[in-house]
Amino acid sequence: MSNDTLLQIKDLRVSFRIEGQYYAAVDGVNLEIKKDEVFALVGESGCGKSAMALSISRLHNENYTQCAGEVLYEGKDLLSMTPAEMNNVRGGKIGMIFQDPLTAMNPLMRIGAQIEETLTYHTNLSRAEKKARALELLERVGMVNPALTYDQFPHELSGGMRQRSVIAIAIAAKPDLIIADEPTTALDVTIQAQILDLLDELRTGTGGSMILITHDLAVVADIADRVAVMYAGQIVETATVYDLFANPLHPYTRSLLHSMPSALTEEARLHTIQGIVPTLKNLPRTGCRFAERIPWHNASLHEENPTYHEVTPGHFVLCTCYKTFALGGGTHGTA
Amino acid sequence: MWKIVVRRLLILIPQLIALSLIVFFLAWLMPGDALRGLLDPSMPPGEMNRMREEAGLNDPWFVQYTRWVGNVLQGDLGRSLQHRVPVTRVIGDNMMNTVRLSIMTTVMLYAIALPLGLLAGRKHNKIPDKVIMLYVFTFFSIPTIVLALLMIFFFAFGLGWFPAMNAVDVRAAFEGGWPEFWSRIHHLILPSMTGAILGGTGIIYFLRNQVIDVQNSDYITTARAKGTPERRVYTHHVLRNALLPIAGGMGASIAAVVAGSLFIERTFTINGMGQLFFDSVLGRDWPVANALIMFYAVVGVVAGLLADITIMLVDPRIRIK
Ligand SMILES: Nc1ncnc2c1ncn2[C@@H]1O[C@H](COP(=O)(O)OP(=O)(O)OP(=O)(O)O)[C@@H](O)[C@H]1O
Ligand SMILES: [Mg+2]
Repeated sequence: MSNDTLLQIKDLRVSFRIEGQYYAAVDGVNLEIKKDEVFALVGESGCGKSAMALSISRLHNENYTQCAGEVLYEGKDLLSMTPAEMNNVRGGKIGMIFQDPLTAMNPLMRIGAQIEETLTYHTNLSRAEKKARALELLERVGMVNPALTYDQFPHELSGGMRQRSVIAIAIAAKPDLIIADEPTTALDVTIQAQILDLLDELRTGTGGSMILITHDLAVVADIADRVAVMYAGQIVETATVYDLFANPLHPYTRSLLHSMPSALTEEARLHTIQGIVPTLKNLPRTGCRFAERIPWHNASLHEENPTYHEVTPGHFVLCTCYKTFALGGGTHGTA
Repeated sequence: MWKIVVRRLLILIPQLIALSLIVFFLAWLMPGDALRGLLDPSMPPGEMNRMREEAGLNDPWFVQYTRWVGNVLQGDLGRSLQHRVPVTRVIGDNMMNTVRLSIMTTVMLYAIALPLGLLAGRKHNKIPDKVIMLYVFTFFSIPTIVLALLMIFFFAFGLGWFPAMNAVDVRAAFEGGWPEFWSRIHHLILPSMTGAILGGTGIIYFLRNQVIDVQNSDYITTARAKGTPERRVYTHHVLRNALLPIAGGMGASIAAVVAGSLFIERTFTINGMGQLFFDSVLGRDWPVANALIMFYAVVGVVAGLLADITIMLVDPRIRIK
């Protein structure tokens, strides 16, 4: 592990119990998040992005979830920490922002109190200092009237204002890593842009890393440094944002880029890929998991046990099936 | 805040008027009237009608209704046909016993149901949950009288810990003061436990599901993501949110306790309003029965009021500007 690595995920496996059996939703993920970078995680619904994000802070219900592998934060494995050690990490070192601001805050607590709670567990500030800090945070996340918002309840705020409050909660104790799980999906378009600007601005202001989970490749292009593409519980491609957009390798990445209106690659005739992510129970567990979505490809193009190929420095792709595309091999009709 | 309470109190007025109309017509429909008890075979014919006329019983219903309401407001509920004394006196003797029993039962009910419901929810699918659910499903369908008799059998006759009947020891009541107080508590334990054990099942089950729901909600994940220690997640976030609907159902619970005391008083031979209700219905003592129906209805309405005010106090979403 190099010096500038903040978080290293090694062979992470997250399994949910369904009818007495455990099924892996995250299946052998390896990732490295560097200091001060924005790392984007993309992939279609159900591919395991949230499952992975929650497992980093160990926020899964352990009654029916198993996490295996290692999540090293500054070299220490989060998965083997005691609950007390973990509580120092949560909020203090890793801040979380969730998808739905309408349900992310306690409906019976005032906004100010919810922000101060983070401060209570991670600072030694007095009551008055906490209040001052909460007001300052509300101002930083763009509240027009921090003093008013401080005393309001979540239901009194709009969706965008609530997400701003959630962000204030997440950044209150100045964590080094923010995990934002589709922070704008539940908001309308104009507000989405504002919230993303805010996240970008906060980070450039104070430094720190961010894992940004999103469906939206335009957002990735806009604010991320590196990106990982996830499919069916696995990372199928990792690269810098520039490399990924300039030279997408995995057929799944290509299909994602293709479905983005502005990203016209040289391969405009690339197939619109059929089907959807298989459900957890029916996930293919052997071979290339993407194979069944591109049935027109000969089985010999896939590896039996797919491995990562470093095509250019720092640009990794899973399985050999990318080659046919790189060579312009996909000659079959569009679906 | 006070505005809403006042507004809620104003809603009470039409509720009470509707209630009084129902009770009045119930009495109207019942056979016989207040004079029937005075009927005497030696009375000359026509005398009865003269007395009815005098008592205003031949007046149109609304005249009688207003008069009745006027009387009730002045505390005059008529005369008991059985006991030949004002209804208020008959009820007064028994009311305190029922009120004491109901308060004690309610306290025990929540003392049992809240911790068990929270524990079961928190330990969902684990041993504590399974044990508690076994209790819930066992006692949910047991009739009051069966449990009451079992309690008497084990704790009164078997172990001899508590008395099986009456509301107070006669000698202690004569002494008054602390001896009387302790004697009353001692006598109330078995009956109120019976009510609480049975009445608690519904609340435990509801609260458990509530906790299971709340602890899987997004804002609990947010609370954990802040680094909130597990204990505080429960005390500060899960508890209040899970208890909210329980507070809302408090009115119904109290009303159910008071209604349930009907059977408990009978089994433990406590002279309460339940006992009186049975006696008055069996003895066709309509004025007393009516007054009791009225009492139970008012308890229901006031309990509803209490629940509404509680929920307004704890849930910011319900506070209307
Ligand atoms: N608590 C759970 N119990 C059982 N299965 C689950 C649970 N949470 C998620 N899953 C399953 O795990 C898989 C991955 O889910 P996850 O929520 O991580 O997807 P995602 O990539 O975040 O999707 P989205 O973009 O819709 O948020 C899905 O098949 C989902 O059905
Ligand atoms: Mg998700």
